[in-house]
Amino acid sequence: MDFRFDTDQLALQAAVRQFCADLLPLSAVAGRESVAADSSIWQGLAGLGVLGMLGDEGDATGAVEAAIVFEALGAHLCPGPVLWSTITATHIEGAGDGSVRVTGIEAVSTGPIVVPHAGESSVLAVVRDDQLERIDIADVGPAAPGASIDPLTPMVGYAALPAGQVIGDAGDVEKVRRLGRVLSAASLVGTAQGALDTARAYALGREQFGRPIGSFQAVKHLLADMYVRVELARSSAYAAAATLVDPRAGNADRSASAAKVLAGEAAIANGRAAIQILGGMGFTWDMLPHYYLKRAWVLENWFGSQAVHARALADAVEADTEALGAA
Amino acid sequence: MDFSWGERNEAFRREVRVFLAEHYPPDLEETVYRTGVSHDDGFVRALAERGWVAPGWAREGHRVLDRFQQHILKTEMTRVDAPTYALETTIMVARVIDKAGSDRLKADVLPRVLRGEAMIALGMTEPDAGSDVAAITTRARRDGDDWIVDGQKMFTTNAHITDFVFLLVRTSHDKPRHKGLTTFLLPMDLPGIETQAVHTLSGERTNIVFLSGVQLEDRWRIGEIDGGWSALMLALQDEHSAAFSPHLSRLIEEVEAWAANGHDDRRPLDDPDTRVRIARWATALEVGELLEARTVWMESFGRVPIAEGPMSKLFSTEAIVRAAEDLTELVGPDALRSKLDPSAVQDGRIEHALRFSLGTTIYAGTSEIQRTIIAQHACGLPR
Repeated sequence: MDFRFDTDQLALQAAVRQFCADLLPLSAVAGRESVAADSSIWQGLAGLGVLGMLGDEGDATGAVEAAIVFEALGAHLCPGPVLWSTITATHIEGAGDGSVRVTGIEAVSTGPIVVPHAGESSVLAVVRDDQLERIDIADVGPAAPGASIDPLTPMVGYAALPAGQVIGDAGDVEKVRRLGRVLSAASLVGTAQGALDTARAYALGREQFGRPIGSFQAVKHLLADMYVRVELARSSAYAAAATLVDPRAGNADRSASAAKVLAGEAAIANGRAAIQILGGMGFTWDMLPHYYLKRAWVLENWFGSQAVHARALADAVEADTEALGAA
Repeated sequence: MDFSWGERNEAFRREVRVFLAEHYPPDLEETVYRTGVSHDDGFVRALAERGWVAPGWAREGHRVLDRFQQHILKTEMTRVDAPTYALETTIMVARVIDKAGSDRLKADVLPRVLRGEAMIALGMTEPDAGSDVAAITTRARRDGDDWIVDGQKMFTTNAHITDFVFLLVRTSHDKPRHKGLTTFLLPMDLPGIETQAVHTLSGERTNIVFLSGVQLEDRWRIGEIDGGWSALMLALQDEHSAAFSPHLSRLIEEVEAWAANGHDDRRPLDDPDTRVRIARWATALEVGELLEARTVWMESFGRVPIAEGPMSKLFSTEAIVRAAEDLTELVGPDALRSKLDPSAVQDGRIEHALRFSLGTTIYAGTSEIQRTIIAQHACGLPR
């Protein structure tokens, strides 16, 4: 047992953080609203090896490294369909080297079809329970008007989708979903951390009643709770990633569900707390907290919400209890 | 002891609902939503015709509403999100002018205000002075009989459409912080005033106002020079009985309507989880309404709800935040589509509640400030 990152992983983390500082400065986030991720971002991600980093041997090689990447990208509110392109790269040619941007959805039986990042993607991956499909965005019918709650995750609504080309079976679906859960959880950890960093910096700099507001216990306690939430969520997300790579470490599905529950809770609660700590300014579009909270609301609903995963965990506990009873 | 509103008040509530159905049609609601401006001249004129602009204000030829009916009027308007915010700030300031203003200022301003023809925004907060309002640095210095004003005011909601801004400025630098302040009524058509939009999470537009070398006649002063703190306290008294529970009421109604509709032969309301969640928030709503009624009841016989007001605000606003999060989770991803999306669930009102809720624990005194007041005034703890 070793909870540390190895030297390669630390080097990767440093490289991705540098990439974020250079190409995704938080000071310029407003300029990335409602537009495609700049081609320099996509080339940079391909250059870092991010998009093609997940193993194509049918296993989950690279999941921990991917979690490191998505945590950092989450903290910088990375635009574009990076998550979908990465988790479908072994199934869709060109996704891994960055020549094709892939977005995706989990098929729903009712309601309108809302596709994130459709405007900048050329391929849509559709995850159904029994198979994985690909649809060329060019073949999808006219878009319906719509508005995304998150300005950094533009959405396009469609009335219907054409038939897709089958590119994976139920086993492939399961792998894509597992990666999606763990890496959306890692993104949520980054989101929660970004909200904490923003709130902490403000609490140190903002003075009221003659001292920094971070010196007031009411504010300190909010920040301490934010810290605890993000630490719990991070541990859980990396445990889930490590378990995907090495199933001997535990139950991959259960740890992924736990990570999604804790990371969703951390990101949403930290987004809210950051708004509260920045006060009136936190409620405006001029500051960062609203971006973190809106991104958290979007990711919360990808690959199963907290409620969905809490139910999955309850089912697992029930199965364990029954097994104990039978033994 | 009697917890009922009584038939007379219930009849009044029905009267208000009929008025709102007539004067706040869906197209006006749509305009208010899209512009983020909670004011409409026509709506305020209609209120004025009913005598519902400043309904508690005794004056000739005007039917005064008692404290309970004022509360009913306010809660019914809040429940449908009627465009009354500019009017609320206007009346808040008009009361200060009535109590502390010169006879000339009263004669110049109050008749227009009471006819619903002049609007006033608040200009207390500054970029570096939020909760700590005594830290303001906008200054007015004497220039003969006039004043020259320089500085910035933040969260001056509606200042881009109002006739005046209630301005708190520093007039003395050699006194304790809160003793060197003065209040003025600033006409917004004076040279040197620039108003810039600031957009917020709820969609409401607020403003930052830049003041550079604004020449202001002394007749616009409200109260004594360096006596601004007491004028400010007069203004803030009105916030004790602010009604936040109607926002929770609106949210619960939308979720109930969603839950009662069938999808594939199943209604969400048949699911015990749905019922438990709705029941929990309906309970919170009832408590919130009662806490508000309690502050109104106290005020009806002249008591200031110094801890009860903050308790009511704290409870209702934190309930709205948690309810919006919980009920959004209940409805699922569909709840996140906004009113601007034709396929939005319940016309996007759940999504709006989710965003709107987050400001309620911040403005009119943050939850942290409310807890501090309660600790001090209800629990008797030291400052």
